[in-house]
Formats: sequence, structure tokens, C-alpha cells
Amino acid sequence: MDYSQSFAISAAGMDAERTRVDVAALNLANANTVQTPDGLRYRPLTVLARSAPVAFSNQVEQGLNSAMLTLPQTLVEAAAVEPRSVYEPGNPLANSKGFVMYPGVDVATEMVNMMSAQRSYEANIAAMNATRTMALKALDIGG
Amino acid sequence: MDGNALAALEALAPASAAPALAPVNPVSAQSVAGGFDQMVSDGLSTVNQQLLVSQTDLQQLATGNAQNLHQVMIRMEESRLSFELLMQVRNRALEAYQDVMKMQV
Repeated sequence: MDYSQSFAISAAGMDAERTRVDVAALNLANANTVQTPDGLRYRPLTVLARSAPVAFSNQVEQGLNSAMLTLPQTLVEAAAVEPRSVYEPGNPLANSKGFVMYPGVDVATEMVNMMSAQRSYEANIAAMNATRTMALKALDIGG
Repeated sequence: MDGNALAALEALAPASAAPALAPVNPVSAQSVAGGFDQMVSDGLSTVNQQLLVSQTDLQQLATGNAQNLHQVMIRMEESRLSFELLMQVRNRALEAYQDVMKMQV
């Protein structure tokens, strides 16, 4: 069915938004972990979403050429943020000056990212539902 | 029902029921020339394949092996649309057949 292309477009958007939610959840989950003495610490992640061309078989019919038809592709990378050092002399993981290193996760930013990704996911589902409704309505022709 | 319209509707069936995510047994233009029964059975097998794919997806979802939920839902919607199309084609064909059978000679 030629609606499958519209579904694939919406599915690509949903994939990208799900990656954003996953990364935000991961950052939030690791927000309060402390750097261990061997230097192991959590590095906050960011999602780089870009648009890349894809090959569909029936683009011409839709009036889209391959240069126009690009789908979101996500790339997860460690963000270049400094760790947050907090003075906690009682912490067993504190260094000689009594500081512990927390990852530089901004909880408010992560929450906003998550909400934005959630809404975009819903938007993709709305687009898919519109396509589906159109397909079902087309099947009503003459019925 | 106009015979030409029915033919046009039937001609739509194989192309429209083409599989989306899992390409299974695509119906080419040559097989349309193979006759009405060939066309119907091809369309049926395509829809059946899509329903089987949905069934496999649901089994994987139930066992917790599904990669992502929305892909399963989208495949289910696609198979549902194919089945709806099949039902519509069947309705039209049966209607035409009954019209012919009721014809007074």
C-alpha cells in the first residue's frame, strides 16, 4: 500500500524522539552518581539529530525527489560539560580536598528535553493517524 | 455496477496490497494478466503474509522481544488496512457477481 511510505516517515520520527527520551532518562538516572577514585564517571549524553536522505521506491509518484525526502537520523554523543564538584567531606568518594565530582547533568534541561521529545512523538503519531484515517476513508469510496 | 469500474478497482488490488516493511511475494504487472483467480489469490496471499507478520510481531511483544512498540503498532495498522482493502474488493466483486446472477434474460 502506498501509505506505507507515510508510515515509514512517521516511524522514523518516532524512533528519533524515542532516542531523545531514552537519553534524557539516562542522564537523569545518572545525575547523582559520583566519580569513583579510578576516574570512572558518567558523561552526560546529547542527541544529535540530523536529516539524511533515504531511498524510497515510489518517490516520483508522490512528487518528492530523493533530495527532498530526508528522514531524521540520531547520533548519541557525550556532551562536553564540566563535572559539577560539590564539597562533601564526609563522602567516602571525596578527594583530598573534600570535593566529589557529579556529572554535569542539568535536570531542568533534561526535563524540558524529555517533554519536547514526548510532544514531538505525539505529533508523529497524530501525523500517522491522519494518514491512516485518509486510507480508511479512501476505502469508503463507493461503499 | 459498471464493468469497467470493477476492472479498474480489481487492478488496484495487487499494487495497493503490496507489502510495506517486509517485502513478501510482490505482485507484478505480468501476473495480473494471469486471470482473475490468479489476481485474487495473489492479493489474498499478500494480505495473509501481512497478517502473519503482525502475528509474529505480537508474539515477540508478548515475550518481551519487541524492539519498539510503535513499529509493531504500525505494522498492525498496515495489515489492518490491507485487510480492509481486501474486504472492499470482495464486496465489490460479490456485488457484481450477484448483479449478473439476478439478470433477467
